[in-house]
Amino acid sequence: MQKGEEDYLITLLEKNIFNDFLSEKEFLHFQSEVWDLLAQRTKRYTMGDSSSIPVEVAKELLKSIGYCVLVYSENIEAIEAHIDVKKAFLLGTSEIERQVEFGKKLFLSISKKILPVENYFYQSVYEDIKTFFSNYDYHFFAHQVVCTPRYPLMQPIDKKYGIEYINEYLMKFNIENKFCRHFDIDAINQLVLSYALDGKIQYINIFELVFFNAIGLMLIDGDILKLKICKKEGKQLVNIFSSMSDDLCKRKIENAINELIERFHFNGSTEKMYFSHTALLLFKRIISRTNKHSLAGIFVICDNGISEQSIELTLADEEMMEDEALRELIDQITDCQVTSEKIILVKRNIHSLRDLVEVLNICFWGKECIQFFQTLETVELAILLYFIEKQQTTYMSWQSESRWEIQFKNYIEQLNGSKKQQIKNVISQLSK
Amino acid sequence: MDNQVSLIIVNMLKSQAINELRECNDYTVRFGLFLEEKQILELVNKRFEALKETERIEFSQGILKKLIYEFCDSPYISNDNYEEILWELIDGFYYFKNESLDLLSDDELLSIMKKYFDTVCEGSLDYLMSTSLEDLCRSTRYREKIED
Repeated sequence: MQKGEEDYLITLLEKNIFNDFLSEKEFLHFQSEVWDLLAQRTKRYTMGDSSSIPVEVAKELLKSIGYCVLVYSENIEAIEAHIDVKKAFLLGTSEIERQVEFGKKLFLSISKKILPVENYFYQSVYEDIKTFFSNYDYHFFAHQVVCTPRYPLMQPIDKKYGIEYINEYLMKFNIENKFCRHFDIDAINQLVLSYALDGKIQYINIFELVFFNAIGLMLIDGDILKLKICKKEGKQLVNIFSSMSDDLCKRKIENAINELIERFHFNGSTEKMYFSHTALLLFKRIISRTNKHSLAGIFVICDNGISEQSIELTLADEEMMEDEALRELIDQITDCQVTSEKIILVKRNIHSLRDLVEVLNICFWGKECIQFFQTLETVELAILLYFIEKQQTTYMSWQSESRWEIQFKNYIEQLNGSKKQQIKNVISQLSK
Repeated sequence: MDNQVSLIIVNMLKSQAINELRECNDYTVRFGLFLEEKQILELVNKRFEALKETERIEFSQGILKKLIYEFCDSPYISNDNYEEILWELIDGFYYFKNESLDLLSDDELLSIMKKYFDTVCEGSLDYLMSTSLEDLCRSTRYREKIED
């Protein structure tokens, strides 16, 4: 039985895995202690209002007891913990309480340093962790991760539950952020856009993009702070890797990361280990390419930037979808449970203004509209505003089913002066 | 969880329940209601069966004693139909605890069941289970959704 398996207590109750350590009698005593504890917890859970609970709830309460015992048994001999279950449970609960306080402080400190990276999932970290701490009930369901953060870490967390999962997530997120803070935010955002046109809503780890490109630039003596690897530099990297053995490749990468660690003054052993492990992942990805002539998908190779003009053309000039295809897409969007999924579908499939308006008319309501508008470029905002003004001039009574145009106008109204001016400038060009 | 300790605990709970029902007879006899030993054993087994069917679990004294105390003064229960009605009420009670998403406490549900049984349902268990309690549980769930 491995630590971290949340149903370990249930398995323990079903079979005696301590054959060598506990006698039959001792094991029966252990089991009856667990049942007694479960009965007590059930009574507290129902506040004495119910004599019975659903079996599923009882299982969750039991898993929570097991988790508390496991948290405690980190610190003492595991077998001793299993014999005095009640003591282990109480002390484990105290330890969890302490970890919750630690996690809240860490979250508070991290939340002040979240970077203004233009990526939906990165920005969702604050809300997700806040939701976790609001809903986490360590008294009865200590093992549950009541809200799993949507933003993916470079090194995912395995076999952790409850507050331990969140604390490890926060620590890793903090390390990744510390690294990224050494770079200009505009450079990071440009990197995200270079990764994908819809990088703002892509499910990506920002640290991975920054870290890999920084290492790549180190290897070719480039300017690591600009994070940009142009096509020519990309070819340089290909030449370097294809001409060296795997061992040499690994050493080069290790040297590069050591230099970065020294340059950015990372002194903590946890941080160094995190970066070393990430560098190892980079190495494995490179050597897994049988043909090192292509490193696409490992490093982000930047073109000369994506102009807003080209986005405008993408929106206005593309063909409308076939009716049936659009209907299917609208059904798919309507079935989405979360706004981010709706936005992804729109970004990937809608290429004409008419289709976009059709989708907005039916599929986006209330706050969902605002979340979508936040992913739009200045030119896209200008085009939509121009469209609304034209519609309302031509057809006095025009309004959409979802009233998205009202949300849109309110959204435009609360933008800063400079952005509003940019939108005005684009509209004046469109009007010519 | 079929193992030795579960069996020990279940047997312990059963004998506790049997003793309780014997004690209940001292109270219910004034209403002309009395359970024979065989009926007591069958009722206790019925309780565990109902728990299993509704996928619920009880750790302490069960609901039987409260159920009997609540219903024993009903004008629609006589010694002839006493056991049969208790059987149905046990089934119904656990079923509606699930249907109400455990939003009703034991006391609340028992009180409502008794009130409807004696008034609107005029002693009809069918009417109680298929109409009154269904309506109650639906509105309980709906109220919960509104609060969300």
